[in-house]
Amino acid sequence: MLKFISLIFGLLIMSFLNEFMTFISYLVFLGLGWLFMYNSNLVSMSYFSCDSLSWFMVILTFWIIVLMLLSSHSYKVTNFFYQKFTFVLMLMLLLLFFTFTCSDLLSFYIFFEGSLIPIYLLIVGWGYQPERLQAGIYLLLYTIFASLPLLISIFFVGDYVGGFSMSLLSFGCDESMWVSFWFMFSIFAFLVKLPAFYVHLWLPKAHVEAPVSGSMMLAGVLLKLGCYGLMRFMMFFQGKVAFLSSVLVSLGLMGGLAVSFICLRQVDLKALIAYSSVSHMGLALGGLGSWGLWGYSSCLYTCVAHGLCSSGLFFLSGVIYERESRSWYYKGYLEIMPSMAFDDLFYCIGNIGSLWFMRFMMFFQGKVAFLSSVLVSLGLMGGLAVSFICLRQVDLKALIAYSSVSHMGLALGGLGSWGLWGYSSCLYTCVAHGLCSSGLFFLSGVI
Amino acid sequence: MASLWRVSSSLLSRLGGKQALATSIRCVSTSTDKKDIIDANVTTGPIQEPHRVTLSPEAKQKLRGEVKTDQWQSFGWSIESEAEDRRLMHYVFFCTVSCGIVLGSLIWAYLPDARGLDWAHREAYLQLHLRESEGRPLLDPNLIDPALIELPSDEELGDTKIII
Repeated sequence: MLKFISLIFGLLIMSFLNEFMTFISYLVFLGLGWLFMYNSNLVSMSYFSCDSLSWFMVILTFWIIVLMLLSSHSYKVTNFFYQKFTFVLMLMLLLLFFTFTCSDLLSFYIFFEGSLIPIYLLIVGWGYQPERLQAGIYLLLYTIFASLPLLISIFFVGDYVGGFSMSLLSFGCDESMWVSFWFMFSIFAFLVKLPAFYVHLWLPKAHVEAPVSGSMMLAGVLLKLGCYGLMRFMMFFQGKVAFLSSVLVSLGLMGGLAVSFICLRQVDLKALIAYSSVSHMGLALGGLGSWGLWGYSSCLYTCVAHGLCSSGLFFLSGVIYERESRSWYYKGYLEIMPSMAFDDLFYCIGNIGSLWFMRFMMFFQGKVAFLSSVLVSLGLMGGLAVSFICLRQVDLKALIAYSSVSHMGLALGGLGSWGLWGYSSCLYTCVAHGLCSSGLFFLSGVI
Repeated sequence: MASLWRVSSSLLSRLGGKQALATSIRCVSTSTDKKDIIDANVTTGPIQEPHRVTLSPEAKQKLRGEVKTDQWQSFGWSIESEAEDRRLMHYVFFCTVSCGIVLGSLIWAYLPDARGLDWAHREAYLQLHLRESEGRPLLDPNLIDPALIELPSDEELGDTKIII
């Protein structure tokens, strides 16, 4: 573990040496080295540890930092404080690496709060509008205010289990009194960070006012800090608060639904992506709230997938902003920039979430198995019916659209079978269909 | 279409129409006025066959991309120097795509027995084979000796919900 930390320290020092693009090669090779840690499950009493959860988050961090550097090349070209920018980026990398790999609760809290400083500097230093000052204040105050109960809870947990190590959390809590209140007290900071509905107001402000790289970091990694913290803390409370699962699931899902309606009203592209991030994280919260293994792992995969997808969408909105000087909802990009429009379509399909439906099904598996026959018949017969409609189409785009419905019907049929093969067939159908239909739509645009 | 028109007009004329039917209309403009459609090689007078556009050798070379011009399209990495722009483009794509994505996927795919999954499958099959050969049940219902399990009494449980 120390080799990664020392190399990241080295990168921090290198940020004073007028380098910019060379960071990419170092970060990529660091990330490749981190790949070999996949097998490790170091849950020791030392300061750093690594398990599958940390591994995913750290690899995501490395990748997002690379993308942030790539998207901010204009700072080097225009000589806009690029040395300080790379310093802030490397500081962010270091703090996030510490956050995800430390095995001490108090250290986790310090680095969790510490990661606010670089993102605040990014928003205030490299943001575009005067409103960024208010956005930075919202970001800081929301998170700091919400994490004070977390600090108190950490001291209480440390006193209860006899130490601050995260490995002690798995011994669980035996207290029945006030445990639900204690649970809510502990996870409030993570709910704000996630962000859950009702406490999500900082996110649209911060995302809109942040520069492209700041938005990518916020959406890509910093929201996942909330998920990560929730996943660690929930191990401590386990079965004692399982009756609160309905609260978390409804907060996640209904909040996500409400926010997705707000999405429909948005004019600003960045605000739209920000609200969609809230919706996706609501889904992740719903998965966590189910208290099942599948919901737990679905939260992790949603985090990784959303991190990659949202960062890509923010980058594309930045491309539009560079050309139009505002990131409003423009049309007609297939004519002017077809490659970018194709990328936009690809990321939007990913954002729509070919996989979200499977996550939803995952944690409801046992309860709605009786619906499997309905799902299979709806999927297959519906797909067959729609394919007949395909045959009558004259317009190429309508034909591709109906064929997409037919393919998704097939995926739904596979999912409804509740078997491993059906599930994996749905996954592959979604991925393959996402690639193929986006290619077909692009070609139809060319024609 | 024109043939249909001719047939119908001939039928009509046989039926008794003595009016001058437009049997010989061809909807082709023969006007020599300037037209809306731009034609590169418009010539007045009869069309000369073969009507081909000939290109000079320099134009052919340009079309094939064999001639280097002063005009170059930046990939976004540098707007002043073409060499710098190309260098950075190759560098970034090599690092991110070739090394990051391709090499990374290769490493991830071929990591040795990631998280002990292969071992677990192998061990499970070995255990199944062993138990089948010994005639033991495949899954012992008393995996943990019941004598070692201490359950709370009914008085201790009280109204506590049991969630299985």
